[in-house]
Amino acid sequence: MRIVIDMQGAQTESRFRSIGRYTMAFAQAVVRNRGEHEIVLVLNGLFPETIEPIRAAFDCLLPQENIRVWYAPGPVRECEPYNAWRRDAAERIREAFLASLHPDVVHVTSLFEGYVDDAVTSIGVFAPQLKTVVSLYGQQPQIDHDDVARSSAAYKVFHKRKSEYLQHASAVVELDSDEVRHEDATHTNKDWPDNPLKVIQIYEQVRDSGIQSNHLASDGVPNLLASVAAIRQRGISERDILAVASSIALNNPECRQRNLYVDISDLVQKDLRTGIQRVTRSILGALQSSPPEGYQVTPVYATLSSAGYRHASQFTEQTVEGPEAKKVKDDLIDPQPGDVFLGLDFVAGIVAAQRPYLEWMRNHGVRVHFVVYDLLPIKFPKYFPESAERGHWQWLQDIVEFDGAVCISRAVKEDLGVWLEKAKTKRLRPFKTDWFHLGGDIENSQPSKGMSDDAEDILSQLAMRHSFLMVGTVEPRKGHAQVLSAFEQLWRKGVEINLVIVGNRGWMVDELICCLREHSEINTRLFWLERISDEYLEKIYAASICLIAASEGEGFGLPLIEAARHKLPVIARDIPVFREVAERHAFYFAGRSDNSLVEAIIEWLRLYEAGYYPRSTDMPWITWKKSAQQLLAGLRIYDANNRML
Amino acid sequence: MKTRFGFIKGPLDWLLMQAKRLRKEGLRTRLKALIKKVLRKIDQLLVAHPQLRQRLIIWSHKFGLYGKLKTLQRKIADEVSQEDLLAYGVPMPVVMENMTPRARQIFEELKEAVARQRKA
Repeated sequence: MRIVIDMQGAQTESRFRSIGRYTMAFAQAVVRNRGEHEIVLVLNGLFPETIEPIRAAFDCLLPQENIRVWYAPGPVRECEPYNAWRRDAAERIREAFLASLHPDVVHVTSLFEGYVDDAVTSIGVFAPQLKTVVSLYGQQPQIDHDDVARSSAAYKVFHKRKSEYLQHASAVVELDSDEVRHEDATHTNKDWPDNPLKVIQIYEQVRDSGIQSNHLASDGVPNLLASVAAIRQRGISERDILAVASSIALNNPECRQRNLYVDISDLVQKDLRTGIQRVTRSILGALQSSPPEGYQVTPVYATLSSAGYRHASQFTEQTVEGPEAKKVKDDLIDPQPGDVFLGLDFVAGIVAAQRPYLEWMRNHGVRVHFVVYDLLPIKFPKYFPESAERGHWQWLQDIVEFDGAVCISRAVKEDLGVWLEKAKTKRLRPFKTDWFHLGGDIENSQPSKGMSDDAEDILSQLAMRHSFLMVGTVEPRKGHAQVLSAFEQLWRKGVEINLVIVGNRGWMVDELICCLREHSEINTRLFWLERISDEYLEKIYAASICLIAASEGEGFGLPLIEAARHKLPVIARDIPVFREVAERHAFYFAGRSDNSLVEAIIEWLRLYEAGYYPRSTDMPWITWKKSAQQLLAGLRIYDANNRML
Repeated sequence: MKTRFGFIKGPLDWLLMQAKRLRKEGLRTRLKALIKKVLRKIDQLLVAHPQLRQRLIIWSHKFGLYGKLKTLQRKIADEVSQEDLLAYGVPMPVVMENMTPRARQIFEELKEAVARQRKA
């Protein structure tokens, strides 16, 4: 038997009173004792602030997919006469939604609602076939109205209408009003009802009584539209019709596969081919080529200026067809319960701007997860512009409001755990964290092509001596200054080696950039290559003998994997993430002084000449396809039968 | 690299957009928009706090201001929400552009049904 419980008693102003507490205790008791029966809780979307607390209260009791939200055009409160048309439409919309769930029994936990707030309750207005059980709290509804409101003609009309609805109920579960009043006065939290099995028995009797429930067929929407259009109209605006249409569309979603929405906002708006964007492109490609079972992968984006996420249709078209692609409209997405949203791109500003929309998605039943690349601006604030730490902190505070995060390494997950402890964020449901590793197959990350004019010359110069390579944006954290100083010492000592720095200019490195550009060894034994293609980088890897990873903090350290793929030995700073990625397949150094690195390089050269240096060839690495699979495992997504994939 | 600058760039973009709109629309229009935005926030606050709203309704009836306030509220809601997708924390677009294809289709059908009903 499918039992649908209308939870508005726990959503309206009544939620602060006994009716609200009763509704929650009652629903939890029925859920705990449901046995073979299926319970679906339905919530009114016009009370968004109440949805997450109710979802949290049932977190371990009921699958989140069994908590459904329906929408109506607001405001609908009956104390305002202007709302009459919307309220009448809302009653039909709600009943159509309930019928679409094919319930055997509907339980309305509080019928006398909607005078001072946007509750919508009715019986038999659109779907008289629904078998409805009503909780009744004594003769009078327990709403503490102001005297003026209670004695008004409008209130009397409201009360009469609700009483008429009550006549259509299949059964009434009456709670003694004295008991309710007593509970209100004492504020004791009594566990009602004493025996929820009795209520389930009532449901069974209701189900078996009278004519079998005639479920709303697939033509429910046309019937509903005709019914709404037939409501007596007086000055309804186009805005009302738009809101009604949107509500009906949200309540009656198209039958389709579940969607895995992948946020690629940054990539869509300007692909600057940064490290994160390479990850975004690669993971998106891998997810699209082998989507999780029962899901379709949909790239989406949002902007700062307009609410909501849109399909990245134009971007997809351009990716496939190139610049000649035809213009395609990027429609708003249409999320459904059970869908998953993955914030793959790192777009802090957009997440902050879209937070209300993301909150709505979470309330609607979409799982919202984010990829966390690092917590470096928080761990190393001195290496970032002043506002970066605050911004990163704010971004983390924004994302921990949702379902979970998947970090790009175990080390980042640990950093996030430390931050969560420190930030003491208040959450109603647990925030799930997990980790995955990035892929190392550059050919599957849609590598850029092209060689610069001087590429041949530079490659031939690199071949003349042993070349040590550094890959990554030139910024203070990466340790370029320490490496350069160490190499200056080595050159002074007469060691004939090259230093090749590949990476764009970053921030807070003005002095270092001046030093690099005006260096006496530039383009002789020191090379700085900016904005080079992946194709060129491949050739640089092949021409070098060792990669130096001197960064003081990284989210993952993709260059280590890339070096291993080129069988290039690695000298790495001894930090947790490099240990995690390279394990024992790298030569580690510690210390921030030039001398410590000089000694490490001399030691490594000695081992290299003797053939005893740590080989990177056995360094474990995974493909982007495997990386995407690990990411999906971290998301803990479910199929249509609520089985974890 | 760019993503880190996003923290700075985001607010800067917003400021530039505001400056652009100020040049294009003029100070008077922008000030009006600001006032409407504030009024709409107050309206949203009242929606979120029904008891406060109820009290305001009673007071406005007492002082004979209900009609005026209601007209103002409707005007604000109609005009300002033209830009706003998330009324009541729910995607209830007030312009066709912000509707999903399915909602657009339902809207057209409903509009037609309402027009038929009016004729009848």
